[in-house]
Amino acid sequence: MIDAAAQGDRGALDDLLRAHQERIYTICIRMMGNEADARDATQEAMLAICRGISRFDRRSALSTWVYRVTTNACLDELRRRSRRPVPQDPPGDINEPGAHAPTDAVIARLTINAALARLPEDFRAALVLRDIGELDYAEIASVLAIAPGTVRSRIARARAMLTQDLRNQQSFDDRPNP
Amino acid sequence: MTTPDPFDPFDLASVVFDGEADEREQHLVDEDVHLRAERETYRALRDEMRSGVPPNELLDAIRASVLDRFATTASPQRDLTMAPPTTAPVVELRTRRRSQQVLAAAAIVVVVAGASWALTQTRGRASESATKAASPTAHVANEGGDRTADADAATSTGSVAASSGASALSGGAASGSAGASSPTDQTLGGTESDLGATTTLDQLAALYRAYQSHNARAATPLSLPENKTPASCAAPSARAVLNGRVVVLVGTSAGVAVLDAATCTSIGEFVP
Repeated sequence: MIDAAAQGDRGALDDLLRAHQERIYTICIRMMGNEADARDATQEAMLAICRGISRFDRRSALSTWVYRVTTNACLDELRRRSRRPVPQDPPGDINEPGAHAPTDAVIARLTINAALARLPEDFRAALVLRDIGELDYAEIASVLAIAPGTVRSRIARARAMLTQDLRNQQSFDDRPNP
Repeated sequence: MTTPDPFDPFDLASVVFDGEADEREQHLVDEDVHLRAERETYRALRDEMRSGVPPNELLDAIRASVLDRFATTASPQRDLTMAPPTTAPVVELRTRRRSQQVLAAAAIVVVVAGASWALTQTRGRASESATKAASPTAHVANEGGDRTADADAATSTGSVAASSGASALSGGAASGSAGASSPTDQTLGGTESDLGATTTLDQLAALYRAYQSHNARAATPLSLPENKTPASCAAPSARAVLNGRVVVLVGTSAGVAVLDAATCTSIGEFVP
């Protein structure tokens, strides 16, 4: 499939993208923070994959390469959009049914997008590549061109900041109304 | 490289959760109820981050759009029949930069050649009469024959000022061309060189210098376009389009005047 895709075979490219599209989109939505930008980033990532598959050297797993391209596409999009406010999904959904226990607050999808968006990009990228891309520290280090020790600390700090942010949000939401 | 703090509870829980911990770290987390709880929080966090995949219809639509876009931009026929790809401006910039480098090099050659030529002229004319030097208008009138004969040859040999009785130029036309020793007032046989379109006076000057440099090296006259300059702008040595405006270049004692070709009004001047 890779060889055919590298030759520009539409069917092979279609299969390749279909196999990874959910993960690509999930990386994009977590990196970009909102669906509109995630769709744009997904398109750019898929296009970059089509254009770059002929240069894939097979020194890593195809999925690692795909997530590397996707992450770079997201970072490019974020840099392009850095001069305008990043739209956030409406916060009203955090009060969806059952979102009162701390665990439920963590799993409130829209809230987590907002909390991720508040993380520094470098931290967010490392965490997304780990938790969604399922890359190990060495692979993330390769993708982000940083040391594995830096990957470890960024992921740990990202998780700490994220959980603290979500807990604070939960405390705010649980305040009694005056 | 960032060295993780081995006693940072967040780092411990995180690295153990990721399966990247050593045995000691794993043991520390397993023995601590709070760290175990933190690890489970990270698990819930990860599960939530992985959720929320959009409907397949949306992803299928995105994928199809990408494949169409890729097929369109990757097709060789696209390159031939469609608008230039986004990389086109880069190529243009490179070409433009190369042209600017060529012009800059040509300008340097002109300056060096002009300096040496002027030095030669100064030495060669040391014995000429002071009257001739003090009467550029008459001098130009006398040299008109040389201009119409072969300006390129005259430039290359430095004999522009050599006298000739022929007077192809009218006296009025020559009146704007004082300073016969300057190569800029050579009128190239009644036609002027078309220097092309530019946007700034500096670019125009660079083009003119490049042309002069080429002209100085050429063994034969250039093939020049028809002179469409009004009579009142006579004796131009070149014409060009400056910011969409047709202009003519006329040598003066101070340098080269840039005149509007339609009205002969001055737009600017530069030193060649």
